[in-house]
Amino acid sequence: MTERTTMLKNHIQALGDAGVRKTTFFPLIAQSLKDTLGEATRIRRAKAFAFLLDQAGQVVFPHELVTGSVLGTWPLDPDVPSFDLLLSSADQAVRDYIAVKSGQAAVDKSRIAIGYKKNVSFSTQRWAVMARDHYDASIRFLDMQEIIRVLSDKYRHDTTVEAFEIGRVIERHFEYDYGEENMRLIGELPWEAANHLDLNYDKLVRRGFGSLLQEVDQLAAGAAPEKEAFYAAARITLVAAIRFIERYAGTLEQERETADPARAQELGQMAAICRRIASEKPETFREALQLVWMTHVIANIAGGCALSFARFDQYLRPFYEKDLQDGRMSRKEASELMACVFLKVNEPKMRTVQSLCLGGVRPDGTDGASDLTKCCIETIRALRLPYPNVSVRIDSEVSPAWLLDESVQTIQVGFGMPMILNDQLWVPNLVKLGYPVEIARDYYNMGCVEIMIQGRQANWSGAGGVSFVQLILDVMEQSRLGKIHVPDFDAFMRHYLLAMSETIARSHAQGLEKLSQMRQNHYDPFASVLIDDCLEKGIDMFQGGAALPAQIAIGGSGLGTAADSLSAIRTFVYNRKQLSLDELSVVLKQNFAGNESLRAMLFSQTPAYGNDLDEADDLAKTIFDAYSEGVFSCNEDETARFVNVLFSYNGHVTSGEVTGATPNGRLKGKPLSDCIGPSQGKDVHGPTKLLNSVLKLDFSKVTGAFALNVKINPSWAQKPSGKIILSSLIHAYLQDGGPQMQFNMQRVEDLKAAQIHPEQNRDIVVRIAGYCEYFVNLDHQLQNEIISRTAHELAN
Amino acid sequence: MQMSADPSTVRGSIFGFQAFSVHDGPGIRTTVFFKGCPLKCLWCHNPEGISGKPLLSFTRNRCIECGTCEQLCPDVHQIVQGRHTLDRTACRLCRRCVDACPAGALEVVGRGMSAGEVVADLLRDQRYYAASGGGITISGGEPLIQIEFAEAILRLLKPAGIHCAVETCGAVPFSAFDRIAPLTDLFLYDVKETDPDRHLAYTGAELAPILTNLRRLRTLGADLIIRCPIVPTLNDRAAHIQALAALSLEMDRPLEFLPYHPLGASKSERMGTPPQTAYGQADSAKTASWRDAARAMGARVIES
Repeated sequence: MTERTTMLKNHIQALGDAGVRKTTFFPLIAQSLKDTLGEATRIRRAKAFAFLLDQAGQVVFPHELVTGSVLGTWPLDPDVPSFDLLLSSADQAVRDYIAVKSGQAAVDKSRIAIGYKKNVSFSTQRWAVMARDHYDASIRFLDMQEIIRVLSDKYRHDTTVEAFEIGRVIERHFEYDYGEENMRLIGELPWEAANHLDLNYDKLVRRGFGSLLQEVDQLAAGAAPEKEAFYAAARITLVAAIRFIERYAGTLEQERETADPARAQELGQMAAICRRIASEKPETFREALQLVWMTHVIANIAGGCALSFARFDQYLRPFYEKDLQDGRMSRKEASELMACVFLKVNEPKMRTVQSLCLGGVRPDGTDGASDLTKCCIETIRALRLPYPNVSVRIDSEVSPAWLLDESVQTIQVGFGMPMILNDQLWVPNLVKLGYPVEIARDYYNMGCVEIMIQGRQANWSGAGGVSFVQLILDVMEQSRLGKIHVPDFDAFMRHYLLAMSETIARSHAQGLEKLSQMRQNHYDPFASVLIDDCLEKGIDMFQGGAALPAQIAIGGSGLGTAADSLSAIRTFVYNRKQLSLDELSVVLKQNFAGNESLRAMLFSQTPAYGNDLDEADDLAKTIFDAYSEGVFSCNEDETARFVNVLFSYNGHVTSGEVTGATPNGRLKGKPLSDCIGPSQGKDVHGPTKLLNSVLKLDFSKVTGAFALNVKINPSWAQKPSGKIILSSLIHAYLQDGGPQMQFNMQRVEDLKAAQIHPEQNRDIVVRIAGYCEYFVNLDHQLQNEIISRTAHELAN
Repeated sequence: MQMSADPSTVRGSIFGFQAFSVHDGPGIRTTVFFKGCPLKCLWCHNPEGISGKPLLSFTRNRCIECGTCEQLCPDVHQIVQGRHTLDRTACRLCRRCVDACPAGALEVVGRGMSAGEVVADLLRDQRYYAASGGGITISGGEPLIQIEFAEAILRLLKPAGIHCAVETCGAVPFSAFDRIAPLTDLFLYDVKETDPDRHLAYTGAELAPILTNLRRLRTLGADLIIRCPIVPTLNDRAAHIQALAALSLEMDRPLEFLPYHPLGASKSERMGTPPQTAYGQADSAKTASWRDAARAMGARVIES
């Protein structure tokens, strides 16, 4: 890292520590919506966007060379109560919750202030198990964690509440209230913004906002009357974006007046760049990067989240090569500019996981890796940041050897980056989904590991989902109630697979319903300018304007826990006949109370997925293959693409909290297995055996997202010989068709130390599911889950 | 004994496999551990491999003192004042307690397998071998006391082009090396001590035949690495390191130092083998100093 990037990193860290932030977003949007009552929805949407940008504060960080921040709409809240007051208010909230739940009090929303978004709910799980997801928190994340700890302990003997409910009440209690009237206005519109996608930055840097505005005006001139509103809305947002960037130039010029001479010169350059790129097409790498970042900030301010940089090394490559060739910029300068941007992806209140994809083939099938790719990887390696969430696409036939080499060197540093994506798997599978091959080759990892096509799709969304684990418990319950007869394991699997296909069908229907709701009144006029075909068609991306159909995920969860549970049922119920299925049901309902030795046996003697044991892996394969096939077959019409997703985000912890005890000896409330992985701590024979298990699955219909976490031990991985070992693991896995892999390399003792002294261990980055995060920014349960996954490495 | 016509049917006794073995030989390897060893090193890190017979292993920290094993086999297992005690002399290795133990605390270590079965297991990780420069390693115990079994496995692997390493203590008749040298890509040849008296005291075996076998093996042109466990207070002497460096130069083959790890001490408790003294562990500066000393004499030292 350079002196500048070190200072910028420290500054961003300090911004994160500065206190609690309360957004101006909701009040501003609501104010505009009041003023535009009666106008067309999309015009109101566009005017609110413009009003928000015009009113947004503009923050310039010291040391930065690329400017723009979301913090202008996230000022510090000066009125945060003391910890003791926060604690006592949370305690009151928990007591109120218990009173309501136990029927001692009526549901009174004003008394149970559990936040504006959600009313009292006794069913849904938690969601904010990491700091970055708790946007509107009125409390510091670490303080909230401490309060959850204190109150979970206080109420641990209270049988009316589960531990997770206490966490849920507290996390909802500490959400800002922006006023019922404001939230009603916003909800009625409704405000939907581009999220979980990429805006076409390739088009953006080739054209610039001015040229896009011209195109809007030209198209509007000849447009049919029903399209006028689309172009009018697009125009309002484009003009607002241009105005916002121009205003940033002014902000920079103002800052220059009080800066020291060296910084004043930099600020002057930055101002000139902003003034130019506000509407002009960028000419240099730095200008292109500034335009991309500014657009990214705008989309985030407007409420976007999980916005991706997509194929960053592809669209910036012409600028990079030209500047280097012309001697306008050195490689080192390029790296520092990118470092400024990557650091700022980690500023407070950037929303969820923002990804960046490198390498892979170009649309014509030739190698897309370049010196810019290499420079990016080197920069990322030096910075050791959780965001952006970087993938490297590798085509084992086309990609140069140095691409894997650079990736492995970065993995060896031990902060979970980059993940590896297999072009030889994803491109053909996306073609099967109906995309032309040259378009399929433009795929990238959106957010975490969700596979989308650059610049051509509206929001990724999810519908329903298949809990592989819950379906097992459901079949057991049906049997216990005498509704079905399950004489042997084959019969069990028939019922199980039938239940799975019914669940997929329900999810499919939900997805179609969601899509039709979206078409009723969702608009994002700004984003639609940057999603291919919307402009030409004069149709919003939410209304079907996008070049490709939206992808709707039907997620599958808990593969490892489910495979092990089926394995336990087969072994103990049907093979050894140690107890009947219904007896096991009862034991599970009682969470193994009084059956500790049965639980120990199920846990220790069940053949487990992840060890290259065919008798367990075959069950994982049966589940996985049936699920993939089932989701794939939902794609008979063209309105949407339904894709399968073996990627859990934080869901393995939050779903685990609301899932009962399972036949593999897992206790109620404990985490489920993550993504495509085995049960925590159950893969005890090292990475090759885990990969062998995974490689038995049929990947031919993997279409949406897939995450395999491989734990590696620093004792070998950080040695020089670790490089060839890691490379060969990846190489073998890709050769045999593995879709994706990512690595976690931590020492248990370091993670435990970080739980006790978070302030001294804030730099530890861990891979959770498809994304990385600072360990100290995670909920305690999620931290424990990471540790339990890691613990068995000590034995190796 | 005559070699069986079909090597895959030759049977032997092993006590385990280690997949993803990255510290014994180059690349990603799978190691198979043969039962039985002519040496009895004081620090042995695989004490379950010394005896040729299977052993009942008991892992105390898994035991939940439920008494299931006691009910099945009170002669062997007893729960005395809430603590499990074990009398292995009465154990017939019937495995009933192993299958019944809910906590997985009991295990029989050691089993018979055919060479064909062993090879099938070793080949499960074949996809990782070539790219990493790895392969398989036959270790133990001392694999060459089951020479037919070792040879059969190597014969089966040779046509598959798998890189095969054999780890040996050298204390076997040289005929064993004659039989397998053409089938072996690399020997990991252990030299535990260079002073004859100490060698006898530490390992229970004479040093001379081991060194003679090493020199003869080298004259066959076999590739090898001289592997040397260094155990604090026993053989971490400068004179020993120097003698090893000299041996390495004479053989024109590299040395690898294996720093002592007190794993064998806890394992011997689990396996019911004679208790071991736990020696100290050298820190990384210390282990580097051994390498430096050997390198100063011109020897090549590898680290894996």
